[in-house]
Amino acid sequence: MNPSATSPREAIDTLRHLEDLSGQTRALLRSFWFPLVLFGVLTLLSAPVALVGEGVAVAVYWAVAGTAGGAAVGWYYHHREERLGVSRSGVPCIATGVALLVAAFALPAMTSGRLQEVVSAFAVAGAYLIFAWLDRSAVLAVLSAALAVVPAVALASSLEHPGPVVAVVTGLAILVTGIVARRAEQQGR
Amino acid sequence: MTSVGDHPLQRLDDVVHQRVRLGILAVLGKADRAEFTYLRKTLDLTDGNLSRHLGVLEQAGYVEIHKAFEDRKPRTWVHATRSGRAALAAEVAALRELLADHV
Repeated sequence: MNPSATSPREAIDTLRHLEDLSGQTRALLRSFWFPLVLFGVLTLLSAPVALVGEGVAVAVYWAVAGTAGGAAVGWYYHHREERLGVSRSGVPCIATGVALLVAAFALPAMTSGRLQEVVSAFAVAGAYLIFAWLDRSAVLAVLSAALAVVPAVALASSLEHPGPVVAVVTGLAILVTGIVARRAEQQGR
Repeated sequence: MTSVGDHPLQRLDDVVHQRVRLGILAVLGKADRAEFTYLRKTLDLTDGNLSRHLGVLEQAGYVEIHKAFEDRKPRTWVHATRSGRAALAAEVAALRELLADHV
């Protein structure tokens, strides 16, 4: 291309070419089924802990499971990106995960009663909204909205201990979204 | 209306205003880094051709190239610098402005 001889037609072609390449790379890097399946399962497993244990048991569970899950997700993305030969910075996702972990511990300490049992679920919904924005993903945005509705509905209900129910519904929603995302990724290849 | 002295064509960067080099920066604009093989396949280039364009971009300070051995295999990773990303953004803006002037 000669700069001084660039025609509007050439400019359109170039911009389209750049959008195609950007979109191709973005699509390749966009893969979120693994963390969804993993954290869906971990959330489901937290339900019995919430059912039989006190708030401290749930906090200990998430301190261990959340940290181990985060490490597993980091390992997964590292190996995936090494295999693909293209990678993006994990800093925004790690920062969101750490902020979620802090919020999930801080918010119950600042609340009491039924709200204390489910307040972390609002933080989870907020974290998924950030993930949706980072990934420009409508699927994650819808999941985030659904995850915010779950604790809200539980609080509006007459459930005495909404914690375990919220954990089961939240876990299922995340897990099912992860399975659907996995299938969509497989079909997209 | 753009004045003659401020015409978008005059702001196009000779280093970046080249289809392959723009493509390299477009890929790196969405990724933190990309491997030589990925760029070669995505842009449908030969090794020599890609090396030549990467050399031009590296000399201009638009990309950084890191060579490493991973699992005993040599791998070359390419990363867009801040000025490389800025050059891509400026090029895209100039092209869009050029189109707007023709509407």
